[in-house]
Amino acid sequence: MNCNADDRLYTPKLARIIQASQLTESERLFRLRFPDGEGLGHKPGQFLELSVLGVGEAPITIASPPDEDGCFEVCVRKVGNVTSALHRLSEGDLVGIRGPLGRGFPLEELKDHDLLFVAGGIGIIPLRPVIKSVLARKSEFGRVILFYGMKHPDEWLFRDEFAQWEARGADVRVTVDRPVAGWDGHVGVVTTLLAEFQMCGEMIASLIVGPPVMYKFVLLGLSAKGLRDHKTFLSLERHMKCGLGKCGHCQINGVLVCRQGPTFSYAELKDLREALLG
Amino acid sequence: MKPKVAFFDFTGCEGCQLQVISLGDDLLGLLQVVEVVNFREAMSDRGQDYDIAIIDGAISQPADIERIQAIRKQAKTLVAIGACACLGGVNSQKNFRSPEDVRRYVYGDRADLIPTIPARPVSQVVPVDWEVRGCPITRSEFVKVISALLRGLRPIIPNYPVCKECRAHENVCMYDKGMVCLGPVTRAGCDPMCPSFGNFCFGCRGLIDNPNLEAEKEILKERGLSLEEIIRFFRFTWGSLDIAGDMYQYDFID
Amino acid sequence: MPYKLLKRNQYLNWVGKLLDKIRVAAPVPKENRFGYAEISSPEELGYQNRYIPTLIPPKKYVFPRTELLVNYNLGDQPQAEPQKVETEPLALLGVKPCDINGLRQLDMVFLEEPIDPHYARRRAGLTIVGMDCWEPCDEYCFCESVGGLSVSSGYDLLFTEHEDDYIISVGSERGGELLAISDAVGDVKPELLEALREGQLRKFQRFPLRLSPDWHSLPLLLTGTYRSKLWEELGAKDLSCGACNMVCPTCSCFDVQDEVGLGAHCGKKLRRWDSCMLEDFAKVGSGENFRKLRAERVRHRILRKFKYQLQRYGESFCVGCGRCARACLVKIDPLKVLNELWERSQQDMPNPPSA
Repeated sequence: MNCNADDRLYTPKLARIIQASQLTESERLFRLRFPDGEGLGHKPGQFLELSVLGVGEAPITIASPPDEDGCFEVCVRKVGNVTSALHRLSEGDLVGIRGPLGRGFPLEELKDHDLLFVAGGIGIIPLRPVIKSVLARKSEFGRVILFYGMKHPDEWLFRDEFAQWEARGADVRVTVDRPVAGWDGHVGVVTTLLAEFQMCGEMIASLIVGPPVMYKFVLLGLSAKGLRDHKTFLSLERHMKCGLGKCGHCQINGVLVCRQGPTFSYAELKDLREALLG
Repeated sequence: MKPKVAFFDFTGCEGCQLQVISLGDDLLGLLQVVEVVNFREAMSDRGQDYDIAIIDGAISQPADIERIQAIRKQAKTLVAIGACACLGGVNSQKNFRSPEDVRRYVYGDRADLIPTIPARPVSQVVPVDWEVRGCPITRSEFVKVISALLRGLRPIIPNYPVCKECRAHENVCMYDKGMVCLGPVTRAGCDPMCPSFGNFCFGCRGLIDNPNLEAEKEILKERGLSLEEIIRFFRFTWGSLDIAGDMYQYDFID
Repeated sequence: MPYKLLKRNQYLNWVGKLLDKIRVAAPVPKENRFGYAEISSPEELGYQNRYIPTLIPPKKYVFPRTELLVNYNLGDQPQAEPQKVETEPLALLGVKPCDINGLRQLDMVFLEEPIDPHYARRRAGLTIVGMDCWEPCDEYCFCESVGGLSVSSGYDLLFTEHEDDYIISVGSERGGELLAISDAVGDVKPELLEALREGQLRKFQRFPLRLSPDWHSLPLLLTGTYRSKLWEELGAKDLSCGACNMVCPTCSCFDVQDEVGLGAHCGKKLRRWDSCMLEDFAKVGSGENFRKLRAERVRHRILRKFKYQLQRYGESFCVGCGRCARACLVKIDPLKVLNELWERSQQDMPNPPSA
């Protein structure tokens, strides 16, 4: 019997919080680093299992592009025990990390493509490492367009980075769901931005991340514009408890999201009946 | 400063307080992290300055209402422990009899001195922050809940039926032994104490969030129970809960 | 594969010798049922080779109900270390074909990359001594219909009764060594093997094919009946109690939770059997529940066994032991579910156009 198993498979490796900043009322950004200086070695779109020792473990998407001097970031909304406890930690504290896990976005296959990013709310978090990676080598890609929708301007994540992204050549549109005093930008759900989107041809790919309800309408909108299913990519939220394809929690029909995802092309999800709402 | 904890008992047997006293090493652990200022089962001193109130027993006398409201006002955190405090428990069986008969039966010729009201859980009178269920409470769960609340966490309490744990413990199903059992709808977390020792589950930890009571009734009917008997079974500890719609349609006084 | 022979009346004697060498667990009577338990003398084997499948399958020896995965310290120098699995070797006796297949299928899940270290270590210490079945267990068993009666691997030794003998298939070197501890073990004459094979061919006829469709075609049936009304009907009576999952030899889902004491100086991560039938199983942190309805969960369980895992690993992940149906208080029996879906799909079939 094979005993060459990694004994530390379920054991988190401790990483230190080197910076913690409150981005919005409920989201906090943590910059982490392993004390031994080893990098995380992840790809944009992958996730990790984050432990707050004494509390529990939760799957968290990686918010930073690869190779930032051995540092990596997570941006976490306070919702449950683990995330609330994480919010109470500060610089110098240790958290447990398992990962990177899952499949990232197929960035290398998207070279020379025009890229359309559609993010709803905290859906911007898994797209941020892709956007930053792409803009760092912008000449290898075509146009970069970002549509970002949120309920209220106070929820705008990474707001200070948007100007840099524009400066590097991204075409950025931001919208809020309903009119708000002091907001002179676009108003309406993120799908309303698609109306002004003009692109055609084979060399367009879209990357969409948002709440379950957003996917249906954005996908319909993009299909109507002729975007190809196999070049439309999503990231799904499921209960990825072990992250290793064993525990069964994240299973959608026959697919284990933690191993085969969390990023998928729409072509892969189209016939997966539990994947998208409706 | 260690948070101050006070235990208060209402209508019940105080068996849940005994469970706390018999925590063993965990009791010593508890005393390291909190200061107990009021605990009738274990100490004679009484302090009225406390942060955490731990309540056992049901609300079943008019004076209980004012008392629990005063405790709620003082306590930052209120924890109900045991079936009586969390569900009304066996006390609520009296709710289906004439209050006069109940008083005469319990207090005899002194009945007039002791007023009574229908028994109810603490949460039906004041907001309850956390519950430790069971008759009596499970010690490990008490430790888990207190440990979580001291660290500002939400304790993880099972939201699945006793059957899950009971089967995993390799017990022969009560129904396969010719008994009836409320395990299929009762909240687990008791380390299936009763069925592991040969007794059926009488529902002391209350219901899971979405129990299939209709299915449970069907099972009991198949085993030959009449609707009245089923209701009576449900009322054994759930008499104060607003469940099963028709529970209150029957008022049968022995 | 080599075969050996042992007189049936020498079996307990061999078990006695085995007990001198290794820990042994076997099905023993538990109230009116059977359960796997460690034995200390051959006389405890009260089951006489015939028993209704045990309350829970032998998977508990490789995938315990509760298992400590990680220990950690809190405080100034936090540290997390995996719990070392230290088990003495254990031999399981009297394992039925359905349970041999169940263990083999658990291997597929836990020993595929990334290998589950805790499972792998327990499994490495396990010797499986099977006992072939000659008769169906009861009205719930349908092993032959899903390929669960045939075993060609997954055991160290497999005993088959043949008149006054046991003919023993030796599946591993370790099995051979454990058999060799008895002088009473001998070789099998070719004609006896031939007789055994003929007997086995006849045996399969005694296990009726109780499943209407061929199990290979189940993914197709289950794809076509995904929106069947039957799921809602089953959902209406389902208790979502998880009993079926707890007793299933191939269910492998688990939950992991942290536990800390009152002092909060140290803690541990524990894994426990979980169940896809429970309401919160597919709930995520934000509160969304992806299988909120009982009907959806019943369907997921059936499809996982007969479609998803089947497509992933090439075998029906139900071995037909009947445990879930025996345990189900509302009588949800996978065999009946599949047959009902089959019936209805036949009825729903449009009539062929007349020539």
